[in-house]
Amino acid sequence: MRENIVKLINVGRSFGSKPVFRGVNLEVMKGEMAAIQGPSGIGKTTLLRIIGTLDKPTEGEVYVCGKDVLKLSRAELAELRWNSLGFAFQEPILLPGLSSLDNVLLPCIPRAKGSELGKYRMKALDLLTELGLKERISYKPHQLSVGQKKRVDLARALINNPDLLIVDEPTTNLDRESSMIIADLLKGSLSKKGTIILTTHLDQNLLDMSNVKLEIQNYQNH
Amino acid sequence: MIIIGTATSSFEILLSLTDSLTRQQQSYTKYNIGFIIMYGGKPAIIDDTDPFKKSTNAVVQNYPFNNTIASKISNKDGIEAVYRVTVVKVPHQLSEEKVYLGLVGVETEAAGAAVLPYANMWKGRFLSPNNDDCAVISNKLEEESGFTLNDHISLKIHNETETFSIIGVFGGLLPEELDPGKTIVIDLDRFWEIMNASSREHRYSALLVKVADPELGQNVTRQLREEYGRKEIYVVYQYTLARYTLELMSTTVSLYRITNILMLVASSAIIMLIRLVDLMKRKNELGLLTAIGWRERDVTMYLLLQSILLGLIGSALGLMMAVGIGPLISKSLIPTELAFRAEIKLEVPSPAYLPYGVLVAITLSALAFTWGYLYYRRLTPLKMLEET
Repeated sequence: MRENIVKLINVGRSFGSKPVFRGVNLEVMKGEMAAIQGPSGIGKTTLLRIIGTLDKPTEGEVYVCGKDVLKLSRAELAELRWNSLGFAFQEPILLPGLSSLDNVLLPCIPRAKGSELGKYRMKALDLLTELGLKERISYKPHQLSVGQKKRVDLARALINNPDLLIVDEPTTNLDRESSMIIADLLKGSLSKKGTIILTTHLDQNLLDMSNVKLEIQNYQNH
Repeated sequence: MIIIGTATSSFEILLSLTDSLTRQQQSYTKYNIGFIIMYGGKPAIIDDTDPFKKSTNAVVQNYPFNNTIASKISNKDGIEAVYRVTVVKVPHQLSEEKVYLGLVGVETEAAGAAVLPYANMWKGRFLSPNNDDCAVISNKLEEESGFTLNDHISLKIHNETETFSIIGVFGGLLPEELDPGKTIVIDLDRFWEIMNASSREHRYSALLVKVADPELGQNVTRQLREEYGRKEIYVVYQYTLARYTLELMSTTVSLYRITNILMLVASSAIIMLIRLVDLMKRKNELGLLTAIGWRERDVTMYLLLQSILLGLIGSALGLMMAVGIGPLISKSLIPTELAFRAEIKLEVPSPAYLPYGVLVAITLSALAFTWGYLYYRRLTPLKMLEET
């Protein structure tokens, strides 16, 4: 039986009395790639953040890696984020004082024990190389282009081999080269039985790669 | 960091000033409470004549006390000890100029009893009993003659040359009868030996009377005035003068203490405010750390270590500022003349308070960060990321 990585049951999110979406149902199995699509402002990013445990829904149930995330304590959520999730933001958030390499290693710093940090460092170097940033590992964020920052952000999301990779608009506003590199990385992750949920606005290439498609429109699940 | 530094240095300086004043107060208490000085006229000049060989009215006027009087006073109720001092002026060739130095003979045991005005040492140490070839000189003599510690000074008295090794320099607010200005102090027994005076001829310029209880001092003073209160004899009851001085010092110390507290409160508020503003700016960072799986204890430890580091650097900066500007503040608080005469020296910063300054800076910095984080941690990571 295939393992269920994400399950949403009648999920809704409102800000005050204004609902963003309601009644969203979604099930993503291990090794699948799900694409959440829809026009701008419909709530794709909000839904992705709920799945990534960064936000809470105002209604419905959310299960991630078999856990009811709404019932988890702050400490349990931190464990889930570290052990099972990798989140890449639409607008990459990098610490300005750190190099690309250190930004990728950031999640591991409080967790790695002894020689583990060295292993993570090797992994970070591999990821940055794969993402075409080998020459820029010591660059600070202000020295990188938007596309390069997005790649660093993605490498950080992948540093601990997450069960679920959540990527918000991975190729939006990127040049063709950056888009291709990111798409290749996602393909590589899928081939290793990784699970991916992403939002995309128009990228047909990513939509073609996806096994599951969810379109949010007018508060309805299609 | 600059704010932490400024607050730390202000705190350091005020703490040191308060401490220095308290020590001055204690020192003043030790040397001035509960003793009485009785003294006569101006010192005689030892040039051709020797006042101790005659028993004229002038001698009695200038040297009104003898051993019998000293012994009589020491037997009175409430009196702990009586010490003898006598002063003459001796000619001395200083460079190309002939000057008169005050030659003072004192009972050196008085220094141990903490009632000897000459024992207010600026440099070196005071005489010990049997320091026959040693002397201490007044700061005025040091200043005008160029003599200083370990130098030798020679005096020609009765055609004999006496040489003394200078072991200390004293300063103080002594009356002219006890310190004619350029003064050299030697052991009393040695003084009589130089003066070639038999014990029958010993007469004294002043007696230092130590009373057992400062509160009884007023009664003792009254008795002594009645008994010896001729026009030429002055009785100085240090307790009254000291009491007013102490009250003034006590008020100043209280003022410094209040300023200390206000300074501490103000600097705490400023440091915490600055840190909180900094933390608000870093809410995005905290949101990110939470989003990527840092535990609360990881974030707290990270902020705490950062605060301690900031506090350490800030307080080091503050200490440098305190060392730099502290002495200027100290100088501006005490008039030069008074500092010179009464040897009021404020140590800024006092090393004893350095750890307190550092501790305050680090604690405040850490508290601000921790308090701010405890406020933010109730928010979801998204809230922290969005509100930036």
